[in-house]
Amino acid sequence: MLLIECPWCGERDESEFSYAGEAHITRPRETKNLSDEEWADYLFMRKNPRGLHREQWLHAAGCRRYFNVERDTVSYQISGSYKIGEQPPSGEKV
Amino acid sequence: MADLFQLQSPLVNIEMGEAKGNAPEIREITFLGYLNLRGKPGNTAFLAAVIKVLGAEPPIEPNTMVESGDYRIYWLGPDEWLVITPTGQQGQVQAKLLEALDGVFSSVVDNSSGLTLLEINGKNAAALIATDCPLDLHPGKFKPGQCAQTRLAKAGMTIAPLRNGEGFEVIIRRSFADYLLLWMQDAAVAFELA
Ligand SMILES: [Zn+2]
Repeated sequence: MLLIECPWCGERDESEFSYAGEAHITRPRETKNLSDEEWADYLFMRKNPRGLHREQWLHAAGCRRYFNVERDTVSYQISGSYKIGEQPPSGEKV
Repeated sequence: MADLFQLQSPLVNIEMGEAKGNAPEIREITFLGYLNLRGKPGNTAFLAAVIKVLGAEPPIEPNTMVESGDYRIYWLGPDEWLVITPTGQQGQVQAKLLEALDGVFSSVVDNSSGLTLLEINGKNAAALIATDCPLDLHPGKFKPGQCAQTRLAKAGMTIAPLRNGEGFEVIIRRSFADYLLLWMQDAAVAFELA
């Protein structure tokens, strides 16, 4: 079981959360001008890295807010949580 | 509005019974008023309107609650609170809030028919809830004045320690009340024998 830190509620059990996919994916502004390839890239293509991963979680059974988590996909070690719009704790620009 | 309907507890079909052995006492506090309040805590007009009607600022510190006269305000999120009023007063409190908040970015929704409250009281109250709840209920970590939303036996709940230091109030969905009470009565058997 993971212990996940909600930026508002603090550390809570993983069973209170639901996963919401890769973080920092911005919806393109002028979607009607996109090629099929660009649209498919936005919709479907994900990084799926081996190592540090920035991902969205929802505190579903708690405050019901989305936030970002930086987690190592190999060790499952979480380096920290941060609010949507903030930068990850590793300092790596995204 | 409320007087148009015959109010009925969701637990009418379950015998509450007396607590046996060291099992905590469980009772329902029926028909309280529950208002869901939303607004921006940084908006002074929002805060002023809430203070005017409820006599207190909504708590900004996550997972805390405040008491103000007959009202209790629980933090539910960074822009969301649960206001509990005495039975039957929810309509007029909602109307007063809506009036005071006129033109202010906010919402006040009456959820009174959707929720109910159980009090679990006694020295094994935390142990009973911890049978299937992931929250740390230790009195050093979860004190009166705090509240939290979490899971109880897979159902959602808002929980707060009682002032007496050995009980909890648990706010649950009305539609889950019979399931949760039956689950609690089953879990309580472990404490009845001791
Ligand atoms: Zn939370």
